[in-house]
Amino acid sequence: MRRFLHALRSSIYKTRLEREMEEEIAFHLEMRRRDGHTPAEARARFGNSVLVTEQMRETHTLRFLESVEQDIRYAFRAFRRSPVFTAVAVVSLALGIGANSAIFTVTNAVLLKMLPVERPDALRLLTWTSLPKTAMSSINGSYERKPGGRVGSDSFSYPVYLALRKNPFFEDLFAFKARTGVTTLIGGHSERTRVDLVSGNLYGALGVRPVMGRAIVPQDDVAGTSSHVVVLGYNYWKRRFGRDVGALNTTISLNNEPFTVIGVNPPNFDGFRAGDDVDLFIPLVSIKIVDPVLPVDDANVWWVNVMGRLKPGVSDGQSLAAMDVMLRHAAQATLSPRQNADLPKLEYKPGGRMLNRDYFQTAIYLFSGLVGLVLLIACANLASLLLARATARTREIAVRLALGAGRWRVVRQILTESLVLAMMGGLAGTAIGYLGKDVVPNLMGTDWDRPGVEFPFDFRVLAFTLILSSLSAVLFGLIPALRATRPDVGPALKSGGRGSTQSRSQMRVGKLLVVSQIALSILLLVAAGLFSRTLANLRGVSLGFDPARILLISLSPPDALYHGEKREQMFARVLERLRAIRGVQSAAMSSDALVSGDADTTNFDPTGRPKGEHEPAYVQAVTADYFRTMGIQLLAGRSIEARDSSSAPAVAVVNQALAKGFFGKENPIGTTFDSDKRMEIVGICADAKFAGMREAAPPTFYRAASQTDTFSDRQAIFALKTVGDPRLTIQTAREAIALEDRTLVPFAFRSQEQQIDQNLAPEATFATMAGGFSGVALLLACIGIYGIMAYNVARRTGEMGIRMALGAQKSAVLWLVLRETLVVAAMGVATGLLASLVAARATSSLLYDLKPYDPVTLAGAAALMLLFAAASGFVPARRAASIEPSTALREE
Amino acid sequence: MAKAKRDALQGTLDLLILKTLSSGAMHGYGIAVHIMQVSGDALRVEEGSLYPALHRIEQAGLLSSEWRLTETGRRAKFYKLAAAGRKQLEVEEQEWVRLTRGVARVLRYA
Repeated sequence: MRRFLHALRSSIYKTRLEREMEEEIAFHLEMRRRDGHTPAEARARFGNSVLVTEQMRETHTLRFLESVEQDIRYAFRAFRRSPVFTAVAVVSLALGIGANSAIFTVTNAVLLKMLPVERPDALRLLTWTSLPKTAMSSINGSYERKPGGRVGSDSFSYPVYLALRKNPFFEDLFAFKARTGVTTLIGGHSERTRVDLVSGNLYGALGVRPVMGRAIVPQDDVAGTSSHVVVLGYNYWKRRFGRDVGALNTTISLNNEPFTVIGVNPPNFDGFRAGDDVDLFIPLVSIKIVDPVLPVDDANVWWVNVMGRLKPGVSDGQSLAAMDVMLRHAAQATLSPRQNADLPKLEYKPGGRMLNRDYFQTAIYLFSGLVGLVLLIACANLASLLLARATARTREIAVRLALGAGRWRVVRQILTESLVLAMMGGLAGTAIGYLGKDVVPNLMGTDWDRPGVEFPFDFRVLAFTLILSSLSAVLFGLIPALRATRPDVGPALKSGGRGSTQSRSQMRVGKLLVVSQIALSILLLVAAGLFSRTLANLRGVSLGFDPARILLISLSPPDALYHGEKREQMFARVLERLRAIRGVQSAAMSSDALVSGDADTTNFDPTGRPKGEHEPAYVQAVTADYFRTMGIQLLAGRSIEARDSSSAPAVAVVNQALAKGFFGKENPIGTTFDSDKRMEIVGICADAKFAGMREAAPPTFYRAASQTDTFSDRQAIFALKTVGDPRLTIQTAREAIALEDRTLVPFAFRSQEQQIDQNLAPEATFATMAGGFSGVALLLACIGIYGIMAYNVARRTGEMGIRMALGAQKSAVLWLVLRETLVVAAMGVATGLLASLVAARATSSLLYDLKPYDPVTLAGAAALMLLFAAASGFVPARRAASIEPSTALREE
Repeated sequence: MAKAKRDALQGTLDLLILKTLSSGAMHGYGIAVHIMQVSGDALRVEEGSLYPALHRIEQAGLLSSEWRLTETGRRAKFYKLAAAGRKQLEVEEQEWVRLTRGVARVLRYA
């Protein structure tokens, strides 16, 4: 210990050691002078004092480095001697560390990553909350229900943004808006791209400098400009232009409008959302080109994101209060008054962070917890393996201690071993982490047309992995090391480490480790059970429609090419072409895909009642055959039919929820209601899920596609009921649409079942990941159980021999060992179940139709664990039962 | 963990240092003077190699050291034999006797 500290001192506090060495030499020279030598004489006798100091210094560092190298070499020699031990420890750690490093990659990319700009800490994203009855009539962008009944969004109207810009707190406020599915034509090839629209001051305010060309400047973002400009995302430039410098000043077409390429973004700036990888950046003024439908000039529609950098020295609190007043004034001044509406209340969010962190946040916290447990289980394996090894080496260690080796020296040796193990595990874990890093984002991805999100595996992930490995090694290597080198070496020397008190207490620690492993595994198993049952419950809910064998296709051509009647007629022709495909039983068009998260609401006022008495209703515009195609049951009256043309009387079919909610016991068929026009209710259909799986079917009415102007400027969803696997029809459908117009870019080809999977992606991800992690945990725990029981049997070979020599049956010995396993397992299971009762409460918001203390899950987890425990304890038990009494006794 | 191979001269210096310190703690200068005086000026310790040697032996755990005041009230680093050093001294002393006896025999015989 003393020596170690000394060496440590020599490496860290070099200056103090140096001072001491100088003082020592000075003292020597002074004594020499006192004995009558001149200083020059003394120096001559002494030689070169700098060289001497140098040599003295070397003895310190060399000594330390030498012994470290020796330790490492010794560790590797020990590993070669016991390859199984090494493999088990390394694989355990690799799994634990790999899982953590994979999850940390997501944490890193989503939660920790800052925008690659100057002073990202000072950036604030403006958001607001309000009571559910909002002052603005429409929000395009994020919209969430907060706990406590409030709702929130980060969208503002353009006039409000302009008003807020006139504040003294921010260096400048800038605005942006993300749009996907912008049809981009480059050299005769059209595709759908992701576009970020940015205010002219955004590049300057953020301090983002293009790698080539120039940035978007305020002069580009002026209304009425005739020359449109675009900055390419780095990856898009790489993908579409092969990093060609000649891309600059070329013209590309966005929704049929020419844009001049003026620059290329730096590779690290690819938008405000993790994994977004935006293709194109254009001035905000071009919003009408990429989204002609969005009523951006309507102050009642809030759509644009606003961000800014606080001036140095401005606090959040003081500026927020004043900005909130400004927001209220601006909202009141620009919004049309609505009764009882609540004005928005301003809030800040950190602007330098990724905007989609909320979507991943729950998953990240959950998975971080789960992988943390997996690592703990792996580390427990490491500890118990090291412990068993140290026990097996008790004699050797005792001899070394008796021969005068310092205790610390031996501890250091064992710690070096666990560090080397951990580093090997860490290395393999890094590989596993790298392979698994994109699993979560891809499972949870939301874009049909762009799978393969890639998160960067940067130095921070590596540093995290390194720290994690070292920590596990030191924390879990220390206990075995300290226990193995306890000062009372006498008994160990005498007994050779078998059956002694020390090894029995070693056993106790080992069993404790296994109990905690089992308890932790139970936590993971319960989590896996709860999430799979949630998923099963969600999959089992009655949809109200039949998702089997339905292909969905989205089509949303540029408004500049198809608008109004031209668009509606094109959609109708495409529908006919799709209907004509062989193997398509029926085809229909609707305004939204079911369970896609999209849904429209509108006012619904039964004739003769006061307006605005009811909540708005959900609406779906459909063609004839829609109900047949989707398998939505008609309960009364008739469905939407081909005869419901634009010139025929307007009709609607309502679902049960609407009939009950708006008409109670009255029969609504034959009555009329007002929305954008007056419609007659001609039928009632069964409730079908609309936006999502978790929500009950909302009050919905279906209207005839030809009796609304919805399709004059919006997307259309085509649904094809096929004879066989709907995905086999994708190619034919693509060709059929190309026959109509080669430049049309149909997108998001997916079966209705895939659409449902997509909607359940978070739940499925939770279930898959928790299932995977609990599998790993179970495996690790089994290794732990096997290890401790095998060791136990080996230790008690003599005892078993005696028992059998005295006439114990094989089955009795088998049961003896098995019982011990089961006792340990039962203790672990009990602890785990208790812990999961507490821990599972944290997951209750993620569950569907399930209590966190779901007895089926708890019982299942316990049974599974006990079964696996018994199985892994069975092998050593059988070995114990097959011990030959004579051999065992001879060994003794 | 003693090194098996050891330079003969270096080994001699180590032996002299260990032996000198077996009578009590001493600072570096004292060790040099002691060896010179006791050997009747026959052995003059290379002062430049004395201190590195002291540090090396201390690192090997054979010596311990502390800063104390000399009789004249000056701060100096005193070296003391550790338990391991005492054992090592015995071993090396025997080794030395064996060696010199061998050398003497060869000299007598020739």
